[in-house]
Amino acid sequence: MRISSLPKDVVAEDSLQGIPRQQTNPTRWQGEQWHDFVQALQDAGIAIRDKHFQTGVYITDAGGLAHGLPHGVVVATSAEHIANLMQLAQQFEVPVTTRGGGLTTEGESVAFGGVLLDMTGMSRVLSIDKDALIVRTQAGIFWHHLAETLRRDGLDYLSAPLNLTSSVGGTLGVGGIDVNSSKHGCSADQVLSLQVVTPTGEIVECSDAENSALFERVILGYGQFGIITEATLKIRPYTPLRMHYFYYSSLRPCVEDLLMLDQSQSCDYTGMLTMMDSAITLLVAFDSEERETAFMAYYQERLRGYGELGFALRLAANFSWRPWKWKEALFLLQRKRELFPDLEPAHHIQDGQMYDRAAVFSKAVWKHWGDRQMVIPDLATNADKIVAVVERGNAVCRKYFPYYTLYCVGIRLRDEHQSHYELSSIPSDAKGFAYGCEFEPMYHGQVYSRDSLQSFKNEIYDVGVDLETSYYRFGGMMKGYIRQALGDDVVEKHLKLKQAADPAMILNRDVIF
Amino acid sequence: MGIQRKTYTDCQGCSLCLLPCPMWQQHRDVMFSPQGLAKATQSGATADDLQEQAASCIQCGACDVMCPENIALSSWLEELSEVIGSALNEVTKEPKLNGFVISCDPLVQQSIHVDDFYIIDAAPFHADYQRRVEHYTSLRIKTGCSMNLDLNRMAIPTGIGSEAAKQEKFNVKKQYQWLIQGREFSRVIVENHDDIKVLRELTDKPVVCIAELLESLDVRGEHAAG
Repeated sequence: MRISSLPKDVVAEDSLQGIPRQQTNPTRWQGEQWHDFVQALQDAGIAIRDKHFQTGVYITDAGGLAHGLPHGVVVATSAEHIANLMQLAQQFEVPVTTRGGGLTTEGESVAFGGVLLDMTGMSRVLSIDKDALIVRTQAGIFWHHLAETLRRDGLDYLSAPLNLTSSVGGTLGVGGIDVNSSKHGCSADQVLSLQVVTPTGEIVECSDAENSALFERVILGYGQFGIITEATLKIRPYTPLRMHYFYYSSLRPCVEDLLMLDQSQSCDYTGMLTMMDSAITLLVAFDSEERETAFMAYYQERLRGYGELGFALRLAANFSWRPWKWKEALFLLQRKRELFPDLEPAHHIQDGQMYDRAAVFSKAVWKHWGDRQMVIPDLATNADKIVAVVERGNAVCRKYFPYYTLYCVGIRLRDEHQSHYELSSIPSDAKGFAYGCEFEPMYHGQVYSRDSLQSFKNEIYDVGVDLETSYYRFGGMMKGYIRQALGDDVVEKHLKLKQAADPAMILNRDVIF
Repeated sequence: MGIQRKTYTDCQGCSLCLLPCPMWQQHRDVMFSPQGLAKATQSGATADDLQEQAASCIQCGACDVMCPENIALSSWLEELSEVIGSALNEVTKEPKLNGFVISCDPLVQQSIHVDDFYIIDAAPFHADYQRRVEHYTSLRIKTGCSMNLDLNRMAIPTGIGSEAAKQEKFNVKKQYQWLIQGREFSRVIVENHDDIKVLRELTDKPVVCIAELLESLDVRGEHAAG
């Protein structure tokens, strides 16, 4: 029975298993009031760029599959500036799409008409409290630039996506996962307070203690309830990393070891990264020698992974029994030769420790996994289901691509933030930890059609429907799955809240609702 | 044989070139970045449309090193500037006895101390990145000094002497302020002699050029050949 108040989707309604499919890209806003709106902006002193070469800069996002042009671009300069913009946008019912680093993959930061608000214009660190370990920053800043500024004082952020061109504001709106999320939680959980411009143009400071209802909705709110303009974050003293890799030849023992380590809290960083299901790496790392020593003394021997040499021998034996898989063996060899030096560059290593790991990983991610079109469907689940999620997702990858990667990390949850997680990637049945696994094809020169990539994403998400998981990238092109993942009651509740907060439904429309 | 480099049409918009870009750092506007210029050109911008932005590039070359697509961004920006009649500074013609060569001298290295702040000449560093980053990393570890390297191990340029600075499209003083922000040091060593004057205005600490350091060691004759 359909109880949604959203309009029925007109595109391929029954093309997905069990759920109606939303059309891939939203209809472009037609811009009836555009000229009057632009005149009002000019009267208010708000500059707008509307030449084709200016709007074309924002034609797609990191995914490269959704393409759309805004009618005009506004580069954010201050909260007051954005507040004026939002008041006029409400008045003229003009959609506003916010964009930081543009690292969405499902078109969430692509504007299909209306205004694109480029938040990177607000990207300065405002103050650092070294004693209290707190930073106040404008929200359009890239995590990299935040880290760059903090490092001058020997400080660092707690956790951030490995891709450093993500913006702080964009990340806080969706979660933000790092290899230390099993210790520190998601990036959104490090926020102490926010300055937000509401969809109707009020500037509001919010936190768990002040305007808590707004804070609750904006954190992990997918940009629906306000534009984050400033953020106060917890930070920490900077430490280099002591890294270790353990290699596995099947997924299950690696995931089980990952779960065991996260439960034990014996590591400061954990994550699983694979080359297909042939070469599976468990990454563990430490902020201090004491932690590393304690781990080596007790946990190392309990892991079922091999060292590099032991694994190479095992892999060679494995392929010698399966000579028809020689192409895969060659691929693994080539990948090892190209990737390993970039993951441990000499100029980032000193005394066996890695310095500025996020810069290293971020560059490697783009160099070795980046492409014109990137699809990274993911499933987010509780600890009990993650093995099944990984194995079934892996089977889907095998079906579609000869080469692919899985990336799996744990996220420590904060009990007091349960309300923040309500309409988010954090599954409602997760207690203590949630787990996320990304499934990313490596094209290796092969060209895949957009339909083929979309089918792959759908099939991964169908696994989620079956296993009752949530998703990290559930907006934009994949929003057809939201009701299946979160249930009609939760979606309807948040839709009503959205309608009350954003009467013209103009802020980041088509991302979630 | 060199690696085949791509051109602006191959830019995917990853934003990595923004991270070390001093032009972007000063403007906080993607149009003032190699990525913004490339994407705008992909969308039909002409050289005239991008005149102001192209003229603000100090041609430090960090974008060439950062680009995962291996796009020859600085060469393309140079061509763009030539079209608009604003030739950028020539960056690769170093004097034979340049800062890099001098910094290889063991005696010079011995005179660099843990509380020195060493400013690498950015453009030649990026033009010969693979070789030089290893050298300067080793020098930094050996001496304990701090350097103008960012988290990506790109050299933060000062912009001094660039055409953009001469045309007041790039604020050199602001760049120096960022360079020394939060750093503790008792002496600044520069490779580019032109950096001395402005740095002396901004800090009360001694500022010396590495060539002077060599002279003061009175070993010029023996060590210049390197």
